[in-house]
Amino acid sequence: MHGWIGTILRVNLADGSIKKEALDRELAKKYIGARGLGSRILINEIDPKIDALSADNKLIFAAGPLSGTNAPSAAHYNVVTKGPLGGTIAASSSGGVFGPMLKYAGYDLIIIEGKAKKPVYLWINDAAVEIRDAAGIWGKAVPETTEAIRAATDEEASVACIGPAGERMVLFASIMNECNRAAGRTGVGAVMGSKNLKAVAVRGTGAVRVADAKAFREAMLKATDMIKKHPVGGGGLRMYGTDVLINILNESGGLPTRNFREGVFATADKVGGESLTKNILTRPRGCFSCIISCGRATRITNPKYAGFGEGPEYETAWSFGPDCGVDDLDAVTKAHYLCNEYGMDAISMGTTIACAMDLFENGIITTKDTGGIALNFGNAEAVVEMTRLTGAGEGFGKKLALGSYRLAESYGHAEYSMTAKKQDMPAYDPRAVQGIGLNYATSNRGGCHVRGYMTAVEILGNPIKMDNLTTEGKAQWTIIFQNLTAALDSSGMCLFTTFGIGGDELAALVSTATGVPYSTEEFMKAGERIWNMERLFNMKAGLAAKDDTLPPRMLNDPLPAGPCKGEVSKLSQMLPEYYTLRGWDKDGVPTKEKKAELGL
Amino acid sequence: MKITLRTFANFREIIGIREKEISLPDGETVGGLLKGLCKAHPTLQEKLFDAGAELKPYVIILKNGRNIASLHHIDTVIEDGDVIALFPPVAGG
Repeated sequence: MHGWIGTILRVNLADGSIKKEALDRELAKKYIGARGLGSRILINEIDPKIDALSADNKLIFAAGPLSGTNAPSAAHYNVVTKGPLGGTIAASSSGGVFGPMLKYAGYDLIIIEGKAKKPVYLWINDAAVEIRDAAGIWGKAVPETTEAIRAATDEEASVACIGPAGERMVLFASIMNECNRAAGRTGVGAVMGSKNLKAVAVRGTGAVRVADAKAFREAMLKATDMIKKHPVGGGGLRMYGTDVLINILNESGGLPTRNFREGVFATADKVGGESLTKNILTRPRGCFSCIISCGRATRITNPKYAGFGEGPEYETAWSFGPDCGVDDLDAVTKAHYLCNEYGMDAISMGTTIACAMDLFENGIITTKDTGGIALNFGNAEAVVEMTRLTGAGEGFGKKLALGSYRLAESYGHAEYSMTAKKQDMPAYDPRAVQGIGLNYATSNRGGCHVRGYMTAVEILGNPIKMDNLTTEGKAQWTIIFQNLTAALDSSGMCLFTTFGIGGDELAALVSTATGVPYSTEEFMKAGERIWNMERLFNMKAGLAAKDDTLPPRMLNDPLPAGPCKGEVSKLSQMLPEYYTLRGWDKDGVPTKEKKAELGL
Repeated sequence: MKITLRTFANFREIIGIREKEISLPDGETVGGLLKGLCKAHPTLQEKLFDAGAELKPYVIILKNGRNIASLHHIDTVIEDGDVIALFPPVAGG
């Protein structure tokens, strides 16, 4: 095959069997790869109603047809499973070099089944695959695990592993590769921990063949040129990182502050990209074949939090910063480092602390619950300590490990959790950015911005500018972004390439790599197929239209100040149109005709 | 009238201030403000405007938090006490 390698690796941890299977080319054509193809295979093989942390769940590491090619920023793979945080289909994307290395070793996907009797890791050295004892590394943090496995296998191996948080099944545990790249959201790390699988290490010396080398090169050069010439992809992201968004959202009145109580944080600039660049940045970093380099290598010199690592990104600077009422960049960065080391989603960690602070300030929890720590908004030291406690499984951290929804629900106040489908919303207030609220509510993995990044058109004016406070046209654009992202995630490309290229260029890259002639329409149709497939899985898992909603605070409590003062989410105005345009019935169920059209 | 000017990312580096109160004639527009800034900081011209003197795509200008694209673009009239924020093309996620 071309683009695709043509081989699936199937590993059963219960009986130790390792099999190599041929990839079904027709299935690959329909679902592209990575998120789409991985999800199709998962859905074919598991009962949607299973407990996500049971041995019946499967964990799939899936690269796309472009992963490992010399297409620009083609570094991504997806971890696909049923997620424990929201009980939804879960596909979590990560960059680094793991995806390309998997392809070079000779595999498109790894399907992990069952549960090992004791901690193990998987070592893939081209064709040689073995399950190894992980007793010596169980309990170790991500950097130590990565170092130990490389020492035991190959210094050039790519290591995707869990930290102590994943081992203890923190419900928002991540899988980390190259130490600092995260398959961060939905709790995929907890599923890995539930299987006693500490890591997957892979070294490959092969290559990815493309179908039409000349045409692929032309498509690659065109895409590269467009990204480099684009003022965002070719400059802004490298210079300031994603954290530059802090000030834009703050000035627009949509920076969620103190657990989404407000939309403006007076001292936001202290944790914004300009401050990060001036005070802690050592250099930008990129993933395999990246021409954007949004990553931030940073160093904290403040003795209280001294250290070095990567991050924070915008989401983390916000979740530990304004969402917790904190403007101490060193503390925010330290909390981010801890998430990388323990292996936790830095969005859900910060927002869960913010939820706990809201509960504390409203007298629902007290210092008796928190181990004596005053969890007031603005307590930077507490944010760092709560992150540590969660990663280490100590004290109040055991409660925080459940995520904000279950935490707030356990005290009888689920309304304090700023989640959609039990996953925490990221750093755009749906009252100030109306379309992103529709995306949160309809996202197949719950509160998530990278499933349909409406902020691009509503705040950043890319590719067009829409008014952030109106609802007209938002359903249509949300669907376009959701479908495009589903197809892109399945290709192996980084989402940030869409700040320079679109469906035309992506379709050309996938077509020339695989030899399957996708028109732009067919590429987008594949994205729509993937979206509907995920939706149908969620409905079989027990979710319904009632779950396509936002926290009551977003729907009922107007923003109290700032440019969007008085606004609430107008979700009810957008959702029926969204269902209609999707070809779903009034209950949000894909119709028979829509399923037939998509070949589902 | 007096207004507050806020600058971000590399516009902050070029103009050299983070936030400043400035005086403008009554009825001044966003376009007029930008021209004045370009006169004082010539390197700003190519960052803000294309060869046809049109505001470059993806440059974000907010008046009291509202994007001028949702108002009257560079013809948006500035009023006493307004906060004008200037952002170069950036993004994230």
